[in-house]
Amino acid sequence: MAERTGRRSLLRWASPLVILALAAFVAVSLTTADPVDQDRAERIGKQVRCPACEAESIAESPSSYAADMMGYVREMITEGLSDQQILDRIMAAYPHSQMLDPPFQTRTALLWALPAIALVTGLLLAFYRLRKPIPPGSMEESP
Amino acid sequence: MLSFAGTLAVWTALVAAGWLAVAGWRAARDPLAASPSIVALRRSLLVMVLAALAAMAVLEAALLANDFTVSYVANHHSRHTPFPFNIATAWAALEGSIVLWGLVLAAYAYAVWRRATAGGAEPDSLDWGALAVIGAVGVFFFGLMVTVANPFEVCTEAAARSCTASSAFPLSRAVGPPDGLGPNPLLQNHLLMAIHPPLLYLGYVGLTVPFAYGISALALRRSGPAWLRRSGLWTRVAWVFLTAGITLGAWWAYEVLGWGGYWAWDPVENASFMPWLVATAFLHSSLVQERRGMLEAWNFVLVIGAFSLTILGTFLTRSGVIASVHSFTQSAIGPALLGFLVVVTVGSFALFASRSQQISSPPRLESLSSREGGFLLNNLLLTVYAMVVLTGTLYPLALEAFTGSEVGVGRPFFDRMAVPISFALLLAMGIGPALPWRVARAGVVWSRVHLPLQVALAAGVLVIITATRVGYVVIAVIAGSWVVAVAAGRLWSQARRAARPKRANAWSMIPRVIKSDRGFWGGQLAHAGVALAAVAIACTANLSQTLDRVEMAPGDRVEFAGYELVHTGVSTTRTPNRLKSSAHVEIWKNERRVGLAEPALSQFETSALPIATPGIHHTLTQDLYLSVTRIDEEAITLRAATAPLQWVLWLGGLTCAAGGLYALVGRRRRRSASVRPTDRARPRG
Repeated sequence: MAERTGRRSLLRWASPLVILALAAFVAVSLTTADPVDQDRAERIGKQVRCPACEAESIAESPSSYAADMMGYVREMITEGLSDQQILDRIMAAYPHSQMLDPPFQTRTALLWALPAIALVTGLLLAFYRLRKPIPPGSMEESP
Repeated sequence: MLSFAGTLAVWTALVAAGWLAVAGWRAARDPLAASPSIVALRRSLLVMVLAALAAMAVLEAALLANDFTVSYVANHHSRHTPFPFNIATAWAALEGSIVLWGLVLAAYAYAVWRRATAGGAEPDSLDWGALAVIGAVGVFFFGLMVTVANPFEVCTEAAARSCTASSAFPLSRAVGPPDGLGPNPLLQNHLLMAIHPPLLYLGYVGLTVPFAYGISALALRRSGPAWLRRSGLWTRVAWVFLTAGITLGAWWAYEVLGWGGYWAWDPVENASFMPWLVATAFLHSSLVQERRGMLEAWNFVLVIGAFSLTILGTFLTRSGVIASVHSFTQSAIGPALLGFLVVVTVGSFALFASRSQQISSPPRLESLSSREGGFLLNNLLLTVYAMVVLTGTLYPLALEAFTGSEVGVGRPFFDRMAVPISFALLLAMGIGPALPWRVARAGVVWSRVHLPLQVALAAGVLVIITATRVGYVVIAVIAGSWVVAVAAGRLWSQARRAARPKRANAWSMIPRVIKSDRGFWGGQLAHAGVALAAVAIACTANLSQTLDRVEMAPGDRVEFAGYELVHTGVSTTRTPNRLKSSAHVEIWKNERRVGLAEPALSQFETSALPIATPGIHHTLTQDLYLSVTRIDEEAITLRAATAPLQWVLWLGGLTCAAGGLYALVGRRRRRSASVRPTDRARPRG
């Protein structure tokens, strides 16, 4: 095919170098970037389900109940508590509140394991059931 | 009177659906002596379509005529529900939505019939078998309408604004309240609510058709390309509607719900997203079977899975098993849907297992690095994705049902799982179209991807220099540009190749190249839509700024994200069914007034809590999203957020649907063209 063979060798060498250079620039910029300055209260609030609503977190819900809880989170932040302490106190103070982010425990093990099991099963199937060794001489290509 | 007409229509549809199932099955079993069965099939089909139409028409008539003796109307409609929400009320609650379901199913049955008999096509037992399956599904849904979800029950005891007792017997003595309460306030806030559910239903119910062809092929022992082509066609139809429906649903949530988001991994959203994922997987794996004869068994699994997931989704959202903003019903329909789900999955997979010997043993892959390998990767990722969403949605339910302990599975879980899978999908979407079929040699692949890779990385560098160094955004831009650039590169090289023998300009060949393989290029357009959506999602999720709950008295100003927001006053408007209090917030930028937003709270007489409506200031680079949690004369409590490139998400979703539509149109032409003996081989992609 002409598009392959017609390329000058200079271009063939330049292209990987350009890609490497660009990729290096991106990698360095991203690794040295400042961490996103996210509001700490907001980050904590997003993990707690608003008890008055269903799928929303207290950081997102417009309900006044969620506003109270967010106020409490901010209060505890000014007191200098750690994230985990704040979450524990919220859970204790509001009995019907729930984490939106399920912790890893025995009762949630399956939740985390099932997608991984599906992935591994799929990969194994793809590798062992569907692939066959290529007989020599049949390496034809159709574009 | 209308109750009587509606009940008659529903019963007629039920009988016709049963008749269709029987006649279809008989025609399919014995295609040679089928003509009487086909006549019966045609008649029953027409009766079912007309009866389903009549049921919908009667329901609409009852709503428009304010006939509160129909209990559905009494409980979900009010005299003051404005147009077009009075029309949309017909599918705003459970019973009515099942009527819409039945109508859409009947319409699909009719379309299948038309396609099977169009243009002197050979009658095919696969089509009759599929119609029989659709008939059987119809029996279930019309059966719901005469039992647990009867929309035409007569109101026999009325309270002031609702119906407290009703009877399924249409000639019962009818009483009606003078007025009703109206539909769920959330559902009468925005025009999109009238459009998005029917679109979603067209997608959802449409997945019945590929399922029906799959079951028909299994039952008739007719594996091979015939069922696959038909299933592929109808999956595309359903997929386009589903894609558009999901996009508009997210848009509706953003414009109406007032929390600034568009996707909450809410069970209702998941219910529409899971079949979408599986249908998308089928669209890709069906190509492998079409081209190489592989993966047939897997394709059966996917069509059965997609349909089962629509029933599961209906069960989750309509039975009240998970209460959420969307799950506005609780009734005896839950056990019925759950039973149907069990029958469908167990029955289909049992049939599949009993026929597994007859399903053609596939030739195996030569190499995993090939177009087929790319499709395998795509299917693996999409299936795992669907699995994650399914597990996350069902886990709290299952855990509570079996152990009684409660666990919340929400946004952080889904995001953590979905983000890496989505990025992997984007990368696969870029590499896949560049891979040749059978065996991909490294040199060929490199020649196709090295320039796109440079373009994509350059786009990433540009974003870093000019806009942001937030990792997710940069990577989404790189991955998205890579998807688009690979497709553009393929287009350009094919155009050049087509131009060379004619010594024509390659640019002028582009339309011809695209038209020669609409399926492929429609797919690439859909990929571009996904890429756009990915960039938009990365931006809105990572670059958004928020301002949480500030008290503002009239005249107060607050600085936010380069804007100055000025509260200038409050106004109230009273319409018959609601009291709407709007805050007037002027938006200033660089000493210039650039807009006015009116976030509002509406107090509907039917609901205790006020419904918040955001005020959104749209610009090309970002939306400024204002909502209020409290309004009174002294002060408002304002929340503000920016949503960078929000409109790109809607554009991406609709582009994705448009790509599917283009592929659909192309597919049709190609099929009818391929009948002609002079048809040239299609250019290879």
